[in-house]
Amino acid sequence: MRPNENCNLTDDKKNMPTHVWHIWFCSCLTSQSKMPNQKSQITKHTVWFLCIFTVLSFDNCFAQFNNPQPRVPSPSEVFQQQQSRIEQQNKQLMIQFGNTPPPTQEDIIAGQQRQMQGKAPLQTHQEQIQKEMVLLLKEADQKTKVQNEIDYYNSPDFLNDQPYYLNAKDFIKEMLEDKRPLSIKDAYYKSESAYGNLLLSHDEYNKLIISNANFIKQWLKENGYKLTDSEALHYGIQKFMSDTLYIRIDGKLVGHMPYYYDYIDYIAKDDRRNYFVTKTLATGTGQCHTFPVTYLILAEALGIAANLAYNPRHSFIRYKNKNNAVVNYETTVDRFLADAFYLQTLPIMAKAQKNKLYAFSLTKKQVVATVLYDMAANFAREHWLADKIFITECMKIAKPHFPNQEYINGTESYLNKIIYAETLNTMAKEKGITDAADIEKYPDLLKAYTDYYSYMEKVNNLGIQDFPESEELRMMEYADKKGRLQTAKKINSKEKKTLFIK
Amino acid sequence: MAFTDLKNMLEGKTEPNFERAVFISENPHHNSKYTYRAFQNSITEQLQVIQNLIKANDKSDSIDFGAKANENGRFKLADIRYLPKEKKELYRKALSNWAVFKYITDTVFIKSTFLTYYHAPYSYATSDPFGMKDWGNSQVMNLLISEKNQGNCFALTALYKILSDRLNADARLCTAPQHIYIQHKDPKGQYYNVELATAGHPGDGIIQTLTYTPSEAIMSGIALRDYDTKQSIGLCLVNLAKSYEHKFKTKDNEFMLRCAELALEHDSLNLNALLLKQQVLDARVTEYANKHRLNSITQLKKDTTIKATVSKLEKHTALLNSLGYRQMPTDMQEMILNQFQSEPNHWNHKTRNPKPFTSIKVQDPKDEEYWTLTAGMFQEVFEPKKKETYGHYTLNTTTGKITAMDTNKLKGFIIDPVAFAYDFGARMYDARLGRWLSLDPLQAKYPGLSPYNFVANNSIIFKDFDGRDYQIVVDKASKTISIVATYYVNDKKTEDLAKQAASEIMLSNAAFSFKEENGEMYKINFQLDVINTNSSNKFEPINRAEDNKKGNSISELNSEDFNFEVKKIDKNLDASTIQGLTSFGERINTDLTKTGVGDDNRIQTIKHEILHTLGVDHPNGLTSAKINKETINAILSYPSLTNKKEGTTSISLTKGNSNETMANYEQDQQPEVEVKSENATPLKGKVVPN
Repeated sequence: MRPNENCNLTDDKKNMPTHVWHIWFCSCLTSQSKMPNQKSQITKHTVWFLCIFTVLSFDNCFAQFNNPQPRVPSPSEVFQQQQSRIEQQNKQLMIQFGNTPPPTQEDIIAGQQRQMQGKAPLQTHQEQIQKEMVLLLKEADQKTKVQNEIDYYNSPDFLNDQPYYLNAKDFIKEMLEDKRPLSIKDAYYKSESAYGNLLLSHDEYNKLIISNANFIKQWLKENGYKLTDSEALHYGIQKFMSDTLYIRIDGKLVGHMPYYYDYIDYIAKDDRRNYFVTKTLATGTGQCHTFPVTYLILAEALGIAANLAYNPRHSFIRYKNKNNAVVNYETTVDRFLADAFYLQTLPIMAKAQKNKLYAFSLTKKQVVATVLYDMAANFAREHWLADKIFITECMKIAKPHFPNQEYINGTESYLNKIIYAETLNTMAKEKGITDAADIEKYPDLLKAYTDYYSYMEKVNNLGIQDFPESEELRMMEYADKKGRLQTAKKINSKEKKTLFIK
Repeated sequence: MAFTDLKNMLEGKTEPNFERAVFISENPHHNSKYTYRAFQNSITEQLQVIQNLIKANDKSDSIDFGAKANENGRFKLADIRYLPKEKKELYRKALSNWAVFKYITDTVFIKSTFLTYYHAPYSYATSDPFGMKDWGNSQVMNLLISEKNQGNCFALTALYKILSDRLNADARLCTAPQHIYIQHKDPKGQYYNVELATAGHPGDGIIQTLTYTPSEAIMSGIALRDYDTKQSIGLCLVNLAKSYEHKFKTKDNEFMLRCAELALEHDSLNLNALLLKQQVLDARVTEYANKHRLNSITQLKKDTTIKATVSKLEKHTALLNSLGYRQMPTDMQEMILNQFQSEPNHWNHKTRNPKPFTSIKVQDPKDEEYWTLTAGMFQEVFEPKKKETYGHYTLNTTTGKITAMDTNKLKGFIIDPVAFAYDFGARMYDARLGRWLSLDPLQAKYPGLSPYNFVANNSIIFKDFDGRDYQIVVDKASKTISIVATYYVNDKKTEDLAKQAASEIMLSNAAFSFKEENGEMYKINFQLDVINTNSSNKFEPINRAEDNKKGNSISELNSEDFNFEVKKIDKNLDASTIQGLTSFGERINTDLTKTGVGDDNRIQTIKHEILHTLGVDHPNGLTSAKINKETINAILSYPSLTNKKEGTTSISLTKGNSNETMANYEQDQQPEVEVKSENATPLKGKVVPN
């Protein structure tokens, strides 16, 4: 999908032949998912069948309108015409109900002549329709069904999409090379727009951020806080995101509702856009990835320093107060947390903290660099690994900005793992290996495994561990329960809406 | 001597070995009266039970450590993080660590057919957590020797480490201020903390909080850090110094300073060594100040005698501060000592933690609320301060200079910051502290994580002391009944004597027959083997005997061997008497090296004890080693079927298939019977002399 375009009909679409118009429209309806092989075949086929059925009916209507008006016939002519009409109607009825009408005398003669000339017999009407149906199905199939990877990566779907990612990568790279002003706001939008189908246009995005920042400043002013006091500005962002606030504009009361946690698909498994800051800004809902980013963007707009910090599968905000002390602000609950609180997340974490991987402030440039990891993950969601060049390039550009802090970003680790998995599994499949114990028997496969193993040992030795299985299950259950509550309360967390109350 | 030994280990002149380092650092406290061999044997003795615990809970044979690809032919990365061999090894190590944990923290029951005995857990010396009353409470040796089975953090943790190392289970030592604990991997390769005093698994956050550790200390590497073998020697050096301190009642001695400096030379981030050095310098300067009535730091800095030491102290204090170490506040120290019990006020955090906002007033108090692990009980948020106090001295953190002092002896340390003694306490570390509000699904945290969830947790071991560790082999074809047994020894002298004794018994071969009721005659043969294990481990004969159903052991064990499973020799008997004791029907203990007695005496003693292992009681007097038909009868017969009056014996050819029982004995007391015959009809008859 292309950046910021909805599925609207354009003028040139109207001049297309009817059935092709239907095909295009149906493909819009069915292209919800980005990954190959993720469409529901049944849904797709049903839609197509309905389209074809519509097409067939439509064509029949046109045929009737185009018939010329008859002159006054003789009785015998009337009889013949009646017979002919009945025959025709019967034929059509038979076709409509899926039956093959018997050949007419003319059909038989024509068929015999074709045979004498060595030509293939004409297809029956039913056969023609079936053939067309198969062609139409194949055509639709090509959009979402991968017959093989080469086909997909040569398809317009991929080739037309790739430039957006490449462009975004270069854009962020220029920021990191100081060729372009460093901007968290712009880096995130560029990255997300490469994925496309965003809830906010670039213009809407920029305007909304300015409106939000202006609201915060106004609120602070009206409540007696100084805009030169960084602590006040931080407080303003915190209140803005977590509370309903009111200001007066031209004497009228204007409010702003808080953001709230969206438990439905909070890990963006179903829709990658749930991981986007554009979604949070557009809907007022988000989670522990988008809330801190929203905070950073607002801090950037207000001209104050704020840092991102990571915890296992989590991120939060850190900044210094006037005492030069670092405070941890948890955006999801609007509270300050002690370091030890974060350090209690997994059985052991101190080593990783010592290695600056957890609860450690990232610089602004490092935040922009992490956008590359996010974008690579978006790419993988949309197009899987392709030739791995794009993904590895993103990682290569970002990596130097984390000296002695390798693996700080969980997405980077994810990307490394899928690359290792792909290499290993491709090799294993080629060799027909289904038992892990057989890996050691093949030197090249063992080498691939050793590379993965060495990587994991390095990661683990830095203190990074997985969540215990029991914790994973509990977290999923918790989110599921909260999500169902959300649904029961009919809170539509994906709907674009303004949080301003006028 | 101890200092030199530890120095040699650190410098690589001898191989670093934590077990030996612990012994070297602790023995001086006992006037060096123990031998390393005895210490090692004692540890080996602990391992007997632990190894049986492992065996009783080892399910590795029924676990599939492999991984298969899914229906699409793809492996899941998490499944192949480790290949099958390594997964099995991780399981073994985790199980071994569990067994050590269980042994130290819980009661282990050892059940045999004769009796059930138990090993009680070691407990925390709550009355003397810092070893201030008795430094022995900080020692592993004390745990092994004392009947109280008590020790503090270091003693319990070091014992764990030693036992784990013996099992090659890769547990590592970790420290936080005033605290020491263990870390090891679970079967999935993920590390967990293991706290012996509370038998719990606190997360790093809890440890950080309860040891008053700022994040800077973690970042600098002095807190919540692990130790390799060489670094752990440094910990023993500190303990050696503390032992010296308690023995000679001094806080300032050049020897102690040397210990600290040697440890720091090889591990500059050893916090306990840093604090030991701090303590010595502090004591030195304070004592001088008190002695010469110098009341201000300025005076001390001007004094030509002490100013160099003051300068050292100043630099060292500044170093401690820069590394992030903060002295625990007095009220927290008092709480810890008094084991604070009252309910924490959840909203009391404000009084202990600084406010996040310093220049603005918030609209709602909750807007500046800190969420902490201890719900406000302890300070968890640290802000840089202009001044920090260490011991008797206050440091300006900006200039790195000591600016004030307070030599009042009540100030300074209440608890010993150098000692590893901090017990989190069941009251402090409880489920309540593990519960907190859910912030975000990704931050939801639940207590009760443990690396031992994979174990069935069976702490009952069944020992196969069947009372008759020999085998009866019935060969109907050759009409022979063989009495087969093996005797393990550990030295040449005992081997020679035992072989002599066995030969004398085997002279009875063909002297007796078993006459069936139908008149068939079976020859009776003794086949007694003596095997020399030639091991450095005194307990090896016992170990080998345990593993062999027809195995027995002949040892000479003393009261210092701490062996509770062998009856101890009474060394005060008649000079001409050699005492022999048989325990559990398979363990012979005898003082064969006793001087003043002849070899013949020794041989007869062994013969006597061998007969005991073959199920013979004292039919012909206490000291007899005679073989007669009653002896053979006792050996062959199943007590349940012997009609001693009639002299009839029935040998069932199927083990455990007896139809008659006597109340005193259980079926599993029957010896192993091997039948070389398809005909399993019991032999009924009696033993007759040829």
